[in-house]
Amino acid sequence: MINEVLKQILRLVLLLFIQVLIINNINLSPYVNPYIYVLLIMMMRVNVPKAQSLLIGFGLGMLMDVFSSTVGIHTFATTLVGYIRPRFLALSLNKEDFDGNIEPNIANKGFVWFFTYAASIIFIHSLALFFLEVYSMKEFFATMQRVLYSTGVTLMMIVLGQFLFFTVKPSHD
Amino acid sequence: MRNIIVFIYKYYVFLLFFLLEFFSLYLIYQYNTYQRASFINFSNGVSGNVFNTVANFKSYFRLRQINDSLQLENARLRSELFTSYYNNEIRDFKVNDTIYKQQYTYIAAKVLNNSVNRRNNYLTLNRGRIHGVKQQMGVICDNGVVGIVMGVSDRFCTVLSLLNSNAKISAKIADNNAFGSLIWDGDDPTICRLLDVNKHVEVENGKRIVTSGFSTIFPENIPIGEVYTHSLEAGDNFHTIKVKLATGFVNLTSVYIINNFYKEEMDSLEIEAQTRLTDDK
Repeated sequence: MINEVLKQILRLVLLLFIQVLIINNINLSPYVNPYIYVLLIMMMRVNVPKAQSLLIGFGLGMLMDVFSSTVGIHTFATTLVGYIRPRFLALSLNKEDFDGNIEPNIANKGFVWFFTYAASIIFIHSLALFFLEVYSMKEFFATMQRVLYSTGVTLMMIVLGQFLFFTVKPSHD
Repeated sequence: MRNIIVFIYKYYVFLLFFLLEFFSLYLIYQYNTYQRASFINFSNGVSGNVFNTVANFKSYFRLRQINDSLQLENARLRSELFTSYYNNEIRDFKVNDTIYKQQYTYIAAKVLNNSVNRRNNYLTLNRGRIHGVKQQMGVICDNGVVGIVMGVSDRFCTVLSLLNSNAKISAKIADNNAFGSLIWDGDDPTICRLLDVNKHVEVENGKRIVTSGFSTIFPENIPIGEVYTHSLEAGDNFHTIKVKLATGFVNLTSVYIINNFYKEEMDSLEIEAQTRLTDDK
């Protein structure tokens, strides 16, 4: 248990470090802003209680807001992800996964499942984040472009990161 | 009563979700409508220290460019020195303090954090309340306008960059004094748009755009950029002018915060006039 908490804190510090000090400084284009810190919520074990998942989302968003001089926008987006994640897992995982309390990563669930999971979470997160940042519907199509391109790049980074840290078994689907 | 407790127990996750989202929406709404920066003041103190450490490391990689720009600025300042003018007058004269009172002073600051690729961009500087920085002060660099101070903590401040959907700066064309307001479209961090320039005004590519001096934030004639492209749509009363910015936001390192001594006097006068007008109605 203590190990698990320590592991999460270490992950949080590492992800924030990469996000704030490295990725936020890469000015690829106004349309591409990868936000990989959402990985922290994605990678929590599947039996984490719903309320805890919400609160972790809320706290993570607050931290991110502090480091990007914004108010509330990251908080809203991550809380939303914290709410949706347990519902997505309940729909798409089977009983053994919950009994084993697995970590939903690419090694445990395979490429196809993880790709769908990551894509949905990142898309919802980006959608909330970018529309709240602009705070108007006037530039709908420009904002939508922002959402799609950023989702794509974030997804690529996260999936490649999974291949880096886990050995993927041959697909059993 | 018992039913309510059962209800809360059954749906507490959803209620918690609702509560947290409502709280963050409240923050966003409050911030966007009133430009209140109390939360930012608080968060500055936290993140400022981290950005300060990183900026210290990063500044080593830019020493050569910083040196070059400082040298250029020194040369410019030296040429404006009193001693570098040839004095044509026979009698010497003294500058009388009762006529020339200093209106603006400049606080030098270092950029700790900056972004150009979001829709709403902000900067963090290493100057704060103890250095005399207040909200709504203008920020410029060697080349041109940078933004407006938004949140202040003891040792840091955040600046609303010109590259922000909430930034609107009063600007004019230097030659003919036609004024308008400058906004950013969110595409290119080197291009802004000048609105409200009437169609009878002549506009040419390459003409200089400067601050108008109508606000209490920036002095007059601070450079902003030059006209990049301009066009006049059929049936439109105003020019569509794109402005190439003089400020290089991508590698901004040192800036100046402008302190206007008469700002409060001017602002309170304007507010007084406005309230009197509404009272009369």
